[in-house]
Amino acid sequence: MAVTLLLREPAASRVGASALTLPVPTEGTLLALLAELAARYPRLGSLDDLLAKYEPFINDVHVEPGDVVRAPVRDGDTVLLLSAVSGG
Amino acid sequence: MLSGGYMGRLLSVDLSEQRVEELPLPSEEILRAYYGGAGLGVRLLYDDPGPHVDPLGPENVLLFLTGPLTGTRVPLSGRHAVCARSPLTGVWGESDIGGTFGTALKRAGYDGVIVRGAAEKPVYLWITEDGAEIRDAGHLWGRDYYETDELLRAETHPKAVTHGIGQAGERLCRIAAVMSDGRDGRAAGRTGLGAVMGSKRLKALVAYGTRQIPVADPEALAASIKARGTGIRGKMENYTLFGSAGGVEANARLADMPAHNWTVGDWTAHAPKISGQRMAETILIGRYYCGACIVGCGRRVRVVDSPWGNVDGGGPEYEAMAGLGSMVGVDDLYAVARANELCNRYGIDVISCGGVMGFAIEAFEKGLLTAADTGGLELRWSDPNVLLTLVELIGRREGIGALLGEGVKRAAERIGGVAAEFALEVKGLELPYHDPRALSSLAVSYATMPRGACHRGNTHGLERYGVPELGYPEPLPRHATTGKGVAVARMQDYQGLFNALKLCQFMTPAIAISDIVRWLNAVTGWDVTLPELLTAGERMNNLKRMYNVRLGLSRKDDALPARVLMEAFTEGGSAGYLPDFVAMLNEYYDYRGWTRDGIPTGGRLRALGLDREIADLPPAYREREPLPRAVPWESGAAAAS
Repeated sequence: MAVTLLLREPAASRVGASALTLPVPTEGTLLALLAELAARYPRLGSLDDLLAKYEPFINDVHVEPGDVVRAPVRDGDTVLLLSAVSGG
Repeated sequence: MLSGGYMGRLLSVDLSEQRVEELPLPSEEILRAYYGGAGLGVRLLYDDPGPHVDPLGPENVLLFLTGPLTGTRVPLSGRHAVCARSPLTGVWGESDIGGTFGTALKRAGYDGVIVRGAAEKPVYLWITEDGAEIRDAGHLWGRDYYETDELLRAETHPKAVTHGIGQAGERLCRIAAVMSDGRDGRAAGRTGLGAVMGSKRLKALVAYGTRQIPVADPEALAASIKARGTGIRGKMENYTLFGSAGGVEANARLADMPAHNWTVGDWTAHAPKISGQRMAETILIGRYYCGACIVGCGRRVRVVDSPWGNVDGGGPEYEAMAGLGSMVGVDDLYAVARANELCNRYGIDVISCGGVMGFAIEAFEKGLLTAADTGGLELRWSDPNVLLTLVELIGRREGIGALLGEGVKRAAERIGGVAAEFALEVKGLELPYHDPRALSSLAVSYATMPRGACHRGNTHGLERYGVPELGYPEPLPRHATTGKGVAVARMQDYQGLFNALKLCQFMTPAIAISDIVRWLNAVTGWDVTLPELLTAGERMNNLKRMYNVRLGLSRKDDALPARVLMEAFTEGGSAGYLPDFVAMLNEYYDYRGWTRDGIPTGGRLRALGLDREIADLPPAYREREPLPRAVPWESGAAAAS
């Protein structure tokens, strides 16, 4: 019961890996997964930092900011975090 | 007597008469209604000379205007605006630029420069605390902007800041930019205002001064900046690390980064090769800052021994990565960086440049252009040689570049046939590089922004983050329709304030509107309220609309290219989606208090204090009243949903 996380910069450097595995959170949501990630790797910043600075994709499908709270993550899913830069 | 924020003087330069004089700023009442930058710019140009001028004739008036916050300690405030009737679009023209020229101009003692007429021979303007001097620029004419910058600083002052054109502007290329800050390569790119400078034979403005910008309440300003400052740096960390190109990969995955002239919805395999992250790993040697910036999104890059040529200076921002990269299918970072430097040197808008190049390649593919038109160059996707050759030709206005430098609308008209169907522009301005099929608000925003297809309404920001004081505590779903028209109007008005006060819009998600209110009041000594501030934003947008209405524009001109309304992607992060443009546009007009023809009602203009402009409306609209509406900052009402 695990989720694969793929990380790009700057997250990869701060975690020390471009891919890692986390257990599926009890709540089964992306928000809970990101909270767990933030707790395990404080160099990534707080959960709020993660939400503000990264665009999440589950199995290549973008998760809108308003859907992070309830977006389900399941065993075998791949979550990709890309740096978010909204301007330009 | 103004107590802060303004130097109190404008420079008025008549190049035909070779005369320079100082003018007082408009009244405090006008300043408090329009502030500065493009807000004050439209107030000035609406009356004098008005819109009915030849954009490339001596009667067109060119403005360089700072804002009340420019040059102060307010974070990310080192900006100014360039305004005139656009030679590219024929409508309201403005371009916002960072760098340090605005700060230098105020330190020399001036809030702005008004340029009239045209010189007989090339000139530049040397601006110091002792006044301004029109100087011969014969030795600079024909030189690129980087060379011009170095020569001008050598003959004026080593710490002077230059703001000038390259060969593209000299040769009246309609997509020419006005550049600033030398190799740090900041650009007032949009709407072809570099060609207006060229038409006046004005090679550059050069400013240097040491004056302090007055601040009414320095202690209050320091306290409010301190309260917000660290948060801004932290929240904008990705800009510091990777520049605006740090969003390339995410944008490509959303199908928000146009590729192959807006025909490819999945460019994700290529995007990482030209991302800000890739740039940081390879060619980045430092970063640079606009005035009062604490973020430093500017990329200083160096490329040596590349087959595409060397690079030494400003690196590509997001729009350049898209325009000079994905739009033409090039994923070679070294080639894109070289093309970006060529645009900086020639003084070409990278957005419009990408638009015309993508269009040209598609026209070649369809047989509407042939090798006979291109001097033998086979225009193919994903070919760095095509990219670099086209930029050179556009910059020199030679060969096929002479046609493409006219902008995509004119080029399509001259090519004829079905060319207009894949010339992506609004009001003659090439679309910037966020896709309405990825972020639906952009459909109505591109259609209605006063200068044409323009992303500076930043309405797509509301699809990434909330702006609670506008009534949006959470971001809006990117493919929603209902409520987007209202959101676009509110965001356009809010973001227009950044271009009047002169703040960097990248900062939007890192601050609250109330921060701006505090900064403005501390700097000026005013007691502006948040509703007053947002009303000013709406007033400015309505006056720009009226500038265009006087030129005959209406709903018919608020049109989007069919490609982004009717050709859904079959792959990528926005596959199958098309924006419901008509529904959003109607909602937008209703909220604005405009008729469904896209014309402001007399009632709305009156409510905004634009009573005098009611006479400029067609008679049938003068007595019309706007539909009732609620705005959260006045009534506490919830945002329209």
